[in-house]
Order: sequence, then C-alpha cells, then structure tokens
Amino acid sequence: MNTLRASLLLAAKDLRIERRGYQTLGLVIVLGVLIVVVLAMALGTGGAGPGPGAAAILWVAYLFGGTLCFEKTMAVERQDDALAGLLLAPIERGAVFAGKLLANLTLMFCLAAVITPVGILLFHFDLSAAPVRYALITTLGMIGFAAIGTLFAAAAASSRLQGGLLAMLVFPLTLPVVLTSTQLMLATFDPARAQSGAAGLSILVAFDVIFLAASWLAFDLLIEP
Amino acid sequence: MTGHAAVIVAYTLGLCLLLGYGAHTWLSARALRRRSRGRSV
Amino acid sequence: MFPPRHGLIPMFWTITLLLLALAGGLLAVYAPTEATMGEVQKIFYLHLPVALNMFLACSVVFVGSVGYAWQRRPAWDDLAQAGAQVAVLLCSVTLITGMIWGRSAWGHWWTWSPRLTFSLMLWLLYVVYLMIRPSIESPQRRALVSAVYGMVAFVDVPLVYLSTKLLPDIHPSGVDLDPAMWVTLIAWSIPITMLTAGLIHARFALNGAVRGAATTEPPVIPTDHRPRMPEAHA
Repeated sequence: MNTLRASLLLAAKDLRIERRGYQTLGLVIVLGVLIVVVLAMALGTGGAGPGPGAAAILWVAYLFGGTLCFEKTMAVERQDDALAGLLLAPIERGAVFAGKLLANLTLMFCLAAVITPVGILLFHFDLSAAPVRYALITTLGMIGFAAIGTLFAAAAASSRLQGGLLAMLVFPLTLPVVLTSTQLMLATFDPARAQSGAAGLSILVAFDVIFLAASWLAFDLLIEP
Repeated sequence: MTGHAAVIVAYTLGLCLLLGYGAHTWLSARALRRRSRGRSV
Repeated sequence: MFPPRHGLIPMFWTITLLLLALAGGLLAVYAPTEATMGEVQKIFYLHLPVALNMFLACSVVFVGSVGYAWQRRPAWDDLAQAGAQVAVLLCSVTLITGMIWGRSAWGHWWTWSPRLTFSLMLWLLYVVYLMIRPSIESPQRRALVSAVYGMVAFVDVPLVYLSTKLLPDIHPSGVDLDPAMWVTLIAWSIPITMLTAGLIHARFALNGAVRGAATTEPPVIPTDHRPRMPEAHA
C-alpha cells in the first residue's frame, strides 16, 4: 500500500468517525461562533465595526477552533489504545502524519465554511472585493498552522499534556504564519495598506513548505503509544 | 526621560538582570550541594 | 564539585567581571556622544552585544535539542534547557534596553516595528519552551518534546524575522560608527559574550545537578524535629 493511499484511508477513517457523531465539529463551530460573537460585541456594537480588521478576527477564530480539532483528532487514537494499533500497521509514520493533517485541515475548512458567513453578517464585512484571495490566504495559512498543530498534538496525546497547553505550544511556533496572513488580509481589504501583496503570498507559501517538511520529519520522533 | 537618565537606567537594569541571574544560579547550585551533602551524612 | 573554589571557572568569572568593569569605565569616559540621538545612543553598547548573544543562546538550544534527539542522553537536554533559560534572559534584557531607548528616541515605549516584534516573538517562543517543560511528567518524554520544540523553534527564528519584514520599519538598521564607538562596542561585546558562555555553563551544571538529585535520591521525610547533629569535621 503506498503512502498516499494509506494517508487518504486514515483521513477518511477520522472523518467517518467525525460524521457519526459530529463531536469535534459541533464543539469547534460553537467555539468559533462564540469567539466571533464576543469580539463582535466587544468591538462593533457601538459603531461601524472593525472594517478590514474583521478578516483578522475571523482568522483568529479559525486558529483557536483548529487547535481544538488537533487535540480531538488525536484524542480519538488514545481511546482503546488505537494509537498502538495504528503504529503497528505496516504503513509509514509519515502516512499517519499526512492522514491526521488531512483530517485536521478538512475539519478546519468546515469550521471556516460556517463561521465566515457569521463574521460577514456581524461585522458588515465585505468579502466580495477579493473572495478568491481571501480563500487562498486562509488555505495557505491553515496548512502551515495545521502542520505544526498535528505534530504537537501527537506530543500532547502521549504525554498527557493538559488541555489548553497545546495552544500554548502551537501559537508561538506559528506566529510567523499568523502574522503574515493577518498582514496579507489587512493588505487585501484595506486600500491604505495594499503595498506588500505578492511578496507576502510567496513568503506564506515558503512557510508552509518549511513547516510541512519540519513536522513531517519530527513526527517520527514524537509519536509513540 | 533625559538621555543621561535613560542610559543609567538601561545599564543598571540590564546588568542587574544578567549578573543577578548568574548569582541566582550560583546560590542555587550551592544550596543543592549543601543539601545533598547533608543527606549523605 | 560545582562550583569549584579553585581552577578555571572562578578565573573565567573574575576575568569576565574585570573586563565588564573595564568596559563600563570606557563607556563613562571614552565613548563619544552621538550627534543626532545624543547620549541615549550609549544604550547601544549593551543592547547590540546582548541581542547578538541571544542568537548564540538560541543556537545552544538547537544544538542541545539535536544532540538529544540523536543520542537520547539527558545531558543534551540539560544543555538545551540552559540555552533556553539564558536566551530568555538575554531577550528580556534586549527588550528592556530597547524599550528604554525607544522611549527616549521615539517617545513611545513600544511600536510594532519589525525588530521589536521579532524580539517579542522570540521571547515568547523560548518562554513557552521553559513553561511547557514542567507540565510533562515523564523526564524522557519531556526531554523529547522539548527537543522537538527546540529544533522547530530554531527553524522558526528566520521565519519570524522574515514575517516581521512586512511591517513598516523605523528601527535604525545600518549604523555608521566612528573608530571610538567601534572600540567601545568591542570592549562590551567581549565580556557580554563571556558572560553568556559562563551563564550557559553554570545553568548546564545546575540543571544536571538538579536532575541528578531528583532521580537518584528519594525525598527525605523528616522523622523528628530535633536539631540535626553538628557535622563531624565542623
């Protein structure tokens, strides 16, 4: 069985588990909506709302929701020693990583699909100016973020790291991705700051490649039953 | 803050932190050594 | 036994402190006042060497992490931890001196200029390294997770730098120094680098001793409250 097929199978397995109960997505979507609503109330009830900053707020909601996804998809493996079975299976560890990453990314996309409209409604945020670019930046940012998140979720799963600490591990490491993508969002939707466009996008792609490579390599070290 | 005061404050704080950390390390090592010696008696 | 009373290490520290005193004297009497920024510019002689040594400490974390991932010897983990502790210290000093300088030169304690953001992000990166460690119980597991974090964090440093390039900049970048300023800068760089090396070494030894005390000896539970007998040779 080749690595690609193995990782697709593993991702499909995780998503099937998810579809049977919506345990992760339900939680994550409610959390995302909560973050957006709380920030909308804090920033926008009085006046015009945060304007282009809305993109950055939505982005923060994706990230926090994403961290919860990483934790949950790994916690599934901890039940009934499923992780030991997974590691005994005749597949590469890299495939396990890729499968988890794909499942996490899919969950994050579902999350984004639900809370983006909520954000658009609450913030009077006009996405129609550059919807493709918004989707592109979001996707690229999520890939880098999910790579590091999946790596350290493996660490958290087998060391009984308390909940919430995963966010603490993942956020400082992914700050470059977060900073770059929020800057790009501001540049896209704020005409006053539209100078660092194309350069920022290529930087984001480079970050993704580096983070993917680094976490692929390090996953082997961290994963153990 | 005038330039002179800023320089004095910056150097005092910076060097206090650096040397203070060294002193803290040294004291901790000494305390640990004494404790382990006390245990073995 | 650490720290020894005689030998190389006390000599090293004596020389470091002497050089530091010399550098202080040089700063007070010799260093010229800069034309545009005035006397505040003198913070530079502490700020820059500390900032450069911060990268040295970060590479020590990297070396220790790679060493642990490769050989699984706990001493490497002690080294990585020592590097992170010193890196956080140096980064704090960089931030503090930078903020005092910024307050005098620009009128704000903080601006989101690239280098300030970079230092802050670096500080967060290594503070988290230190904060995460105690929350992992098994020592082997802790060392391994820290090693992976230390490696990824080091790879992260240039990325952080690159990402902050997108922000608008007011930080002085290229500095034109007269010979007298160069002399003062070098006079400060040497003791600060020695101080960094000495601190990393002292922390390394202490981390090893703490680990040794934690793993080899069971905790002593006091059975009575009588004062302890005086030691025989006292």
